[in-house]
Amino acid sequence: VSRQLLCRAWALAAVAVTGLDAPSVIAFPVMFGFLCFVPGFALVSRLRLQPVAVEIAIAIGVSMALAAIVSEVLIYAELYSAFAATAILAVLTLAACARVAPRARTTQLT
Amino acid sequence: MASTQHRASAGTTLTILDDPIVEPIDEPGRAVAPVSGRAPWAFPVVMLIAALVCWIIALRSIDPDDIGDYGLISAFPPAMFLAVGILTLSFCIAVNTRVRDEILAAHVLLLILIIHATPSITYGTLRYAWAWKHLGVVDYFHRNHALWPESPTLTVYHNWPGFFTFANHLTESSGLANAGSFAAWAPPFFELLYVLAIAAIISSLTTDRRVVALGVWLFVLANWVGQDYFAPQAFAYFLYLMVFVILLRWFRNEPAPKYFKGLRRRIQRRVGRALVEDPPPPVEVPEPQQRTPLLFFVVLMMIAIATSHPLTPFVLIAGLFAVAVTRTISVRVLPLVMATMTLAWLCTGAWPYVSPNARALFSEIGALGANVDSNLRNTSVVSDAQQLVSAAGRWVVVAMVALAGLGALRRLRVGRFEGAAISLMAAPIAVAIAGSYGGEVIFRVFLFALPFAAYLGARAFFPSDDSGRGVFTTFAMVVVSGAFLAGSFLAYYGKEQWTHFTRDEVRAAHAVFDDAPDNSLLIAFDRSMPYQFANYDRFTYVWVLEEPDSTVRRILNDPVASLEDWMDNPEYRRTYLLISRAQSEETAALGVLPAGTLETVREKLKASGAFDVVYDGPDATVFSLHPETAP
Repeated sequence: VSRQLLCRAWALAAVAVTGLDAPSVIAFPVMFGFLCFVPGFALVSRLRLQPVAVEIAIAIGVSMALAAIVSEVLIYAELYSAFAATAILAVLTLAACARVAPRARTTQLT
Repeated sequence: MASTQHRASAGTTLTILDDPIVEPIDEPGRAVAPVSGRAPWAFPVVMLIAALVCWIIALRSIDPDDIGDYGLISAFPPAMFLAVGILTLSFCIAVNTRVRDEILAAHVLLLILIIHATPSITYGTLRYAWAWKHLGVVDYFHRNHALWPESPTLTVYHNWPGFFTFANHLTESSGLANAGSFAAWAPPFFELLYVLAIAAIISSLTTDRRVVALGVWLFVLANWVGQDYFAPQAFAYFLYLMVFVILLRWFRNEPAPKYFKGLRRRIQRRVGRALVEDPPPPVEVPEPQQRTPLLFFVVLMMIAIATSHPLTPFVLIAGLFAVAVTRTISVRVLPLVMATMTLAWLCTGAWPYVSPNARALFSEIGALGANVDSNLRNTSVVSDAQQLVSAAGRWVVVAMVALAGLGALRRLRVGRFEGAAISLMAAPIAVAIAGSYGGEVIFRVFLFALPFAAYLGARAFFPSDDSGRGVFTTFAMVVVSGAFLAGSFLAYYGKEQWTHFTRDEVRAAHAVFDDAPDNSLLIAFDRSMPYQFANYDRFTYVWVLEEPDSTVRRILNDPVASLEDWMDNPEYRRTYLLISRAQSEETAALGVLPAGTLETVREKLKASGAFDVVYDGPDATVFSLHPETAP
């Protein structure tokens, strides 16, 4: 629950700092954490992967990939604005927080 | 010969070997027992703190002005060497004890900071001329919110824009004017991400925590190629690693069932005794609800790679092909999927670049010797110091490959064939057959092979769970780490004379790029300077040393008349000439021009009075032709 809450709060904060043109000293840490971690963490959290370090690594990879793709699509569609890109990622984050899937089982294959 | 089958604990049945001399494993997934005794924490923690203190002391006394023939190493005080020495000794002792994983991780973290954050902290400016160019692409997206795929310069970045759109999103949503305020910190940031990914990869290949720690340590020590700066390669490389994190952890067949049995049998006969295997690490078998999302993540990262960087997709195809054909992973359609994505992108988003360059790109395919040779500088004309720097980089490559080979052999002796690691280490060589990649391909091959070479290198010290417990192994680790440190320090820091820029040089570059009108001309002798970081699309660029030899000679013989002739060009609204310290350092160190040549040119131009001096500082001068002469 706390993970979902964290992701939701961070997504809303990202939309807020982008929409309100917050000062860089506040906006940069919020947006850096959001673009590099939050959407992926919201998606990966659903899978309850272990160990946590691997889960975090995947969350970072997924977030960065997702953020790049969303911005690319908007630029190619000539619809790009920082706010639109942030809002799309925030919506994806909130949607990913909606449900949680079961945990993987560990099997020794020998 | 009857095949031996074991039913795994959760009901999965696999055929392992059909040779009865191999003993079955009784302790599936057991964690490797560390050496006996109490968990020692005081010694590594004290050493860690001592190394940190030494590094902080060193940082306070590093002066970039002291950078000399051997690059930043020339400016390092003894405390810097003491810091890495203490850290190396501490790590090599701690890795073979029961010390907590967090303490080992702290050693690796401090090593990354020492190697990769030291320049960021001490310079206060962004390293590498090409990183400055990347700021310019972000700046273009920031100003225009659009691509320029037919751009006459920096074309490739507009055709693989993923990293730049990401960086622009971060810059713009943070209210920053440009990406320069955070780009200098890219090396430690990306190195941390690499280490996180590589630790996850290695821990999916072994349960021996010593191998995980040492593999990561060796990666950081040997990664001198400097592909962690603010660039699409750094971004795509992390995603490349993450693809294999997911595949090797959740979609792995272990052991590879078909291809290696014959080889394993021959080795066992040669050794002449029953071989004891350590248990393979547990495979996370994803639930159906997890399998699809995990594959979705892989595809997502593959899309980002295909649209962000021209080289990495081909390395990924080669790597995926290698693990598919050796049946290391269960999802064997992925190389085809990645190849389709890559081809689709080449024919659509990257077509403006591919179309005019296709002939040149295809002409390099198959010319492995020429492609590799194009990467290796002719060291006969460079300074003695640069010969050593160049040799150090090559020796690190050779040493790492040799260490990996030794690790693979020692694993064979204990009955384990490292098929996945060897195939992933070898796969990047395929891209050297495909092209020279602007003369950089051999070191990119090393970069992509390094995580798996580092794992195999760690296996040279710890071929099995119960080996490598003695003092000799610790001593060997210290010696090997010291050798890699020496080589990598030389290779990584050895060109800082011209890859770092003083504040004066940065101010000079701002004098050119900040307020230049559209349709300006910039002339410089070579590219060792901050350039194209803002308004890059307003300029036409001329690099004197890339002109024909006769032209260069004419300019050097009579710089005032020749350059005045070039700059008095009515086609441009304003013309600039920038001469800087870094250009002078590079051309002299690499034997392109005699030492002092560019300083002489600079003084002659200043003395002539024929040019406006837009900026003049100790490290750089910007000349401009009288603006009123241009329309």
